[in-house]
Amino acid sequence: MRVTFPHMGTLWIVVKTLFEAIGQDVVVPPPITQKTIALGVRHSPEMACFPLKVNMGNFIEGLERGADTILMAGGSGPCRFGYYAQVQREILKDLGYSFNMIAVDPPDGDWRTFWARLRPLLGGKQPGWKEGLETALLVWEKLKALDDVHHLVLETRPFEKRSGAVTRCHDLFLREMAELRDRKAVRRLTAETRAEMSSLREAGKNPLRVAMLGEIYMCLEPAVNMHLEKLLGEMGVYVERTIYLSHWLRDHILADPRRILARRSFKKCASRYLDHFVGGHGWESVGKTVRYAREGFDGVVHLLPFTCGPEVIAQGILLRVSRDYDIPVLSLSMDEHSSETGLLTRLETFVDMLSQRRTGRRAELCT
Amino acid sequence: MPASVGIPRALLYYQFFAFWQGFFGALGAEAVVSGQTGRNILEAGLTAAVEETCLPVKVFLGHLQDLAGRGVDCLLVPRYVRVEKKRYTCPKLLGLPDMTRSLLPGLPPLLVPGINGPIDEPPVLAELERACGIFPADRKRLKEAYRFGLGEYRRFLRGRLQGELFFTEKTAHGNRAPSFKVALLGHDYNIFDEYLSFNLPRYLQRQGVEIVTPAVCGRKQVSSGCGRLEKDIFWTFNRDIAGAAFYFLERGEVEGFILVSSFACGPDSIVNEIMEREFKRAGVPYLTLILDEHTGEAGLRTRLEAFLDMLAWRRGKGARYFPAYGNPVDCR
Repeated sequence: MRVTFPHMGTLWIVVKTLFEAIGQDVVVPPPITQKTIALGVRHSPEMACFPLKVNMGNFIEGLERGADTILMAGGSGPCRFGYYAQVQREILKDLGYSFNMIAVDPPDGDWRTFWARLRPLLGGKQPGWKEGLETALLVWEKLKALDDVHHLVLETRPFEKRSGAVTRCHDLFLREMAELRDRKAVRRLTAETRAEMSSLREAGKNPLRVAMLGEIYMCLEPAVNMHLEKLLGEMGVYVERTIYLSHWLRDHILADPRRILARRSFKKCASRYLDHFVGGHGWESVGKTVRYAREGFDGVVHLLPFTCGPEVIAQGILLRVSRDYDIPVLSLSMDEHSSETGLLTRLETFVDMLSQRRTGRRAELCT
Repeated sequence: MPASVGIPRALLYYQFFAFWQGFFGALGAEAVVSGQTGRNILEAGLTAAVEETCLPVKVFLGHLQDLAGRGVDCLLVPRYVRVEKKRYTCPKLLGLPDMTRSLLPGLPPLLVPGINGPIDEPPVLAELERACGIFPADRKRLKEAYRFGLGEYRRFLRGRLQGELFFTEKTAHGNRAPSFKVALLGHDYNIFDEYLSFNLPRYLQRQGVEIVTPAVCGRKQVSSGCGRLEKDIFWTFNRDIAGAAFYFLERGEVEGFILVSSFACGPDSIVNEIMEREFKRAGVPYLTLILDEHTGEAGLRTRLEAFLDMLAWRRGKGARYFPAYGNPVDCR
């Protein structure tokens, strides 16, 4: 059995580590390129949302490299993502691939079904408790290191001495991280990267602060949001990312109390505008915009795949939040037709406007 | 006490209008339904909505403005989360009241009952008590009104199961016997809105086509149709449509399927793909029509005519594939 799976940011490092630790063959799909997207778009329903199409590209490239099993997440609605795997399986079947699709819904209480779905991935092997625990700890350590370093990258980028240095350092860190197999090495690499980041940094200026929020896939996968964090960071903007990979694990598997508190706080922030979940991350988008507006952020970038139901609801509501709290919100709806030049122009304009607002405010204060 | 309640003729109006009209009528309020969708209503909705919202939600916003113009005292905008256990309606309906408040701040007060289960179960009554607090009715009166509404709703459902539809034209087939039986699949708010669908059902009837819709399928038929899916569909209305489609397909009683969807409809984009693949595998013709504010009547008619011609040829020549030139091929 050779397993493949879809890309989403640094997820591949975690999944690769997990499967290698339990001795399972894993085919990491090649990084998302224009070819991946073109492949996915060609075989996906025209009206489906963008992540489904990119997943399809990953699956096809993974299967072409010899995978025979696809691991995919699911859900119980109302977001379309919950039914992705069903459509994707039918399309791939009609394309003539022979494979086994393992679609796992988040457990949310029903652990028995959850494990029953995952069991075939062990390939008949029954790892002992010690081995299992060791694997879980390694995966968790990596996940934490990836998220921590990512946060550091965002913090350092607006202060970097040479443009692009932070990104290069981050890329190197990711490449090395993917190969590590024990926790000590993970910790060592993280410490080294921290030290290197601080050497890339120079003191000074008070950067614009922008929160990036919206649909999780568009936020986490730089290949589909056209490296938005990097583009903004290299314009000297501090980008606060509001969704990290480890959040899903903390929300659905570990029931982390800090996450429960965080969720409660965004619900409270959103309550004046939206008092009900709408699927996906729509509710979060509204609550977090209110929160960052209160925290004095300069602006918000709201990312959504074209026609995403939950985020379109949020977009309608954000128009009002933006007026009420006087915070600029840039909603970017993206799909296979988006162009990087178009995005760059809009971002430059947005950032110009934000910095003018800042100086304008200061001028108002002086008079 | 509000003397009149505005009910927009859009979205789930086509499922629950009988209930709401009965309910408010029994409470002693006048239930005002907005006018038929038309250019003005559509344009009012388009101006208010976020561009990539689906057509029926845009139209819904237009109907609310139409009602506000008629001077009603409050507007009914329920939050339909679920209308049956375990399944959802759709994300946009979940956030509809909130989006409405943000996009159309000047409207009369909204009545927002949250429907979170089958409409004939007790939690809905409790929710109505909460949401309809502005009516000075005691519990007993409210309960009676609720029962009356349910009675009306059940009568509507019975009629629908027997094929009574919004559009039925008694003399539809004229002197001709119906030539084909075609299943018309899509959300009721798309198909039965005469303006949005360019009167599609009536057009088909006039062409001598006998239409069946998912409305004639009961729960059992839908469940049996959905049996072929590996994972149950979690959107109520799309499940009804897909279940009915597969049921018709298994019985082999229709000669073709017409799928009507609206641009940017999330659930349709996923479930229709699965249905289309099943139709293709079974070798049954289907036509997908996607509606939005730019849809033109002529384009729609041309495609329908071509589809009906193809059905006729299939029957007359016994072939399955009709290339653009050359002879029909039976590739069974």
